[in-house]
Amino acid sequence: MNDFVNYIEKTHAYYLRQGYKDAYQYARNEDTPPFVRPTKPLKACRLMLVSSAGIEIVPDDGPRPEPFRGRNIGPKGEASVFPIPSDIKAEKLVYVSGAHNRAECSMLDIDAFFPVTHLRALRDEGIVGSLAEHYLRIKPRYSQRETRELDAPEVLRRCREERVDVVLLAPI
Amino acid sequence: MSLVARHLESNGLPTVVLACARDITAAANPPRALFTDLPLGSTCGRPNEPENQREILRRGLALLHEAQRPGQIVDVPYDWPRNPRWKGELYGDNH
Repeated sequence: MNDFVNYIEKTHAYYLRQGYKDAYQYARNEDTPPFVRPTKPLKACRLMLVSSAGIEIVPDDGPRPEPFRGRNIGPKGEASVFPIPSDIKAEKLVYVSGAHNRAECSMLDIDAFFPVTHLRALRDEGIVGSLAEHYLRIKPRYSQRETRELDAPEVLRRCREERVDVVLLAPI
Repeated sequence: MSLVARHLESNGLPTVVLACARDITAAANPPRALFTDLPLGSTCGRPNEPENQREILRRGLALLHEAQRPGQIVDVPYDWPRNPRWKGELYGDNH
């Protein structure tokens, strides 16, 4: 089973064809990653969802955010972590970014990348103990240093504030 | 996202990353990941297929407890019936 897409190679080749001189350096960690085991069964755990999808909330009294506005990159020098209520209906969310496979994914089914409906069902069925009051969206960025030094600590702070036990991360 | 997972885990919070890009995820080396092999944008399952989405979530969440070693990536490659040739059509590829 090794027909996995080699995205690193393909994006390098693509950007070289576009005239860029330097290929983007993807994060590379060759150490043994940190690893802790949950101290309780999943049915007793409080869960956080973190997504890098460009999703916005449809305001109750305003226009629907325009979809597919393009890349939505985190601002330099500040954390870009945004709460989204975990009890929100999928219909109240719109994908506004463009970092997905546009030929294949319409991004109209929010649960295919931000599974708010399913996580509530898993909680209601007792498979997951409880859900954070607010999930988190982080904006992607090119600077890995800013992800590590700004966004990651802010996600941790909010996870602690929400008293979650485990974290599910869903990139785009 | 894997960098965030590593930060959380190093501060005592167990994490699992759902991943569509196996090479990018493996390079960043998060504590645990479930690789679904779907096009970018369908991280949590095929669109409009709630059963597939729920299965991926259940498998991903199970990995929190079942992962055997740090950095483990569990491959659950799903197919993409609406266009089986999608992998050959990325970034202007045409083969």
